[in-house]
Amino acid sequence: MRIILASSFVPFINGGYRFIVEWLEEKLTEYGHQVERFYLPFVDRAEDLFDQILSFRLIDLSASCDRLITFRPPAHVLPHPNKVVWFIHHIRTMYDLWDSPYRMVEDNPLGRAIRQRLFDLDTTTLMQSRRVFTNSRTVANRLLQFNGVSATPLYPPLSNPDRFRNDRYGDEILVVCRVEAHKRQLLLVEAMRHVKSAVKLRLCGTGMSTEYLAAIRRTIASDLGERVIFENSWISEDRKIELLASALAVAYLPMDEDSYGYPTLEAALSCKGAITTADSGGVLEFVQHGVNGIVAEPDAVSLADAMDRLYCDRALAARMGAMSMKRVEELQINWPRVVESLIA
Amino acid sequence: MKVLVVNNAAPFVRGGAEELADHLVRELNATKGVEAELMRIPFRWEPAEGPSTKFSSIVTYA
Repeated sequence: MRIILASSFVPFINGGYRFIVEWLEEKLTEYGHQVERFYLPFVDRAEDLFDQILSFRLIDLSASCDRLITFRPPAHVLPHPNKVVWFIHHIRTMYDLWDSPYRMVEDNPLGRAIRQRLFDLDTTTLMQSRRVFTNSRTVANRLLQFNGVSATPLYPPLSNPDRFRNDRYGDEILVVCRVEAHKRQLLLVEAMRHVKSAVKLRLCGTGMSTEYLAAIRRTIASDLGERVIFENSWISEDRKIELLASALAVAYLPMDEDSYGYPTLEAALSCKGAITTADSGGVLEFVQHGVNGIVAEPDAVSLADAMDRLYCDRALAARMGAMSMKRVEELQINWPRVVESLIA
Repeated sequence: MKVLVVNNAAPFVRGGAEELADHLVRELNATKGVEAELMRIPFRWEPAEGPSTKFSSIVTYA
């Protein structure tokens, strides 16, 4: 089958929103399909929101492939008779982040009309697809709530799940993801001031906000130099696998995330549990408190307590790790299921 | 310096223009202080139904 994968992107910004596309591209090729991938530019911006969306709509791929698979909005507006949408989030500043400081336009009659227009065009174009899948139950619920569209959660697997391994349960709580305010690494660093055990924290990743990076460095330098390690770089897959293999557990506490997050899955495949927080959104579809991880409150003391618990009870850390691995099977997070669903 | 290399692309067609763009991005990335990325915009030389016949349905997303 000739398949085109289409998503939107912001040039030079990497992250999970590209992995889901590129890993699927690899797998579909392995399954013998001809695959072509397009990233079209889109920025969350009010001034030319509809102009940008219209530029997607004007691209006609209907005669170019047997199947179109779309990901990040507004790629789903691309017209095609055999379109399948793997929806990873809405234009959130117009949807679920409306009642937040991030709202894209003013909450006045004009702003509300613009919002309704976006709802309508999203709903119309989503309805024009064969099937709509999402990366999580959280996002499927939002589609139903805002657009009345029923979607099926299809959890995205990692590219090479077999490469991960478990060597031991060491002393470090590991955090590997972009270093940004909404990922809350700073809160974990602050939590280290409250731990009672000798547990350590290792942060790996890069970020766009120099202020946030500086705040983390400052907090570590003040009194945590011995116990918090900050590798402020994009680490290789090999190094990540190595660090995960000897970690005690993983921490991943994004603010109201859309999906369970690749760090959670990487932890599971390395037989490690995850520490997260009650407001981390899609992560809670994977992490069950006391079973395969700890769901703490989003405050320093509660997180410190979670880290101490795992450090002082390695048997608990191992049990949670094993249950994490099992959770991957329970939720059917694997490529055969993904490929079968998307090309059916 | 960030450099965006832009090319048009007929789906599933690869030729000299694609090779040129790929090599350019690779060489730019091998240059100290330069970060390069390729953006490919789908393009068809011959519209299937003539110019703009679907304009009204396009703008209403119907």
